[in-house]
Amino acid sequence: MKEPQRYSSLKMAMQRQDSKSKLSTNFTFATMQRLREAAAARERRENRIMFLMAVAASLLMITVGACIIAPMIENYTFSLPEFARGVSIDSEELGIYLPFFAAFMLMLLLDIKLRSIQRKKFNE
Amino acid sequence: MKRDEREIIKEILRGETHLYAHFVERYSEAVFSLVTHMINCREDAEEITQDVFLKAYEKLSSFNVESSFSTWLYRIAYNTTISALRKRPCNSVAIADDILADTDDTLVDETLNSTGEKLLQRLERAISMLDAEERALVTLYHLEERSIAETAQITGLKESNVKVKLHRTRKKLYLLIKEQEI
Repeated sequence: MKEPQRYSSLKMAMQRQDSKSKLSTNFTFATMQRLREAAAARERRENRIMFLMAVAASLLMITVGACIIAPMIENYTFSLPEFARGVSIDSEELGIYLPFFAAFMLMLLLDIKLRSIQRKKFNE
Repeated sequence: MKRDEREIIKEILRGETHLYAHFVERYSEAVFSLVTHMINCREDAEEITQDVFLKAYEKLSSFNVESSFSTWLYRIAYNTTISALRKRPCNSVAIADDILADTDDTLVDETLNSTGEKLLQRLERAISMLDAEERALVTLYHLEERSIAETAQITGLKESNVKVKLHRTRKKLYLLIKEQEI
């Protein structure tokens, strides 16, 4: 519970000190500008980290893939161009993988679109 | 906290950054007043006030919407100013504990309750001789008229500690005024 206020001169002296210093008139504008700049810099930093992580993950997957495929090629003695020639357009596997590939491309387009909308909104 | 402010915070967290200007407009003068009293330098105070609002924006997701926004913001302001003050020399005056203990409370009360131009001038000078924590306590409790509980929450001190420190600060102010009379 709050004690009754006393020491009126103390409050008056502080109010007098207050009246001597005022915030600049464009304070809100300047603060919001700094805030937007800080947020944009943070987003750029996060995007850079995400990009580097994606590159690292891709390299890792390629390396792992190569480590798996290389012994297979060596063991089963078939070459990739020969294997590719063996794949026909109407094969059953293509029927399974093509929708996945299409879905992936759609998701990629959606991601690009959403990112551009977010960027436009942020710049406003 | 007002219901519409809670809604504004939710909107900001959803990405409506521009709505944060509402809080800057509403609380900037009060935060600036606390920082100015603590730091005694207008230019630095304005920069620290900006830092306070940037920090508050970054931490907004951790703010509990059921509690007071101004108390939360004041706590950030207090901590930011204390951190800024660590990097610069402080010219506060220290008074020995036994001298403070020997000072009569009635005289302190009478002096700090009387008015007059000379007294106010001396009091202003005396306030500027306090350290940052003492100035923050006096600003929050006597100028902003916040409760002991709120003052304790903002400064991170115990309520009993706030009461003791305020009592000692008033005695110190009285002694600093008397020193100027000589």
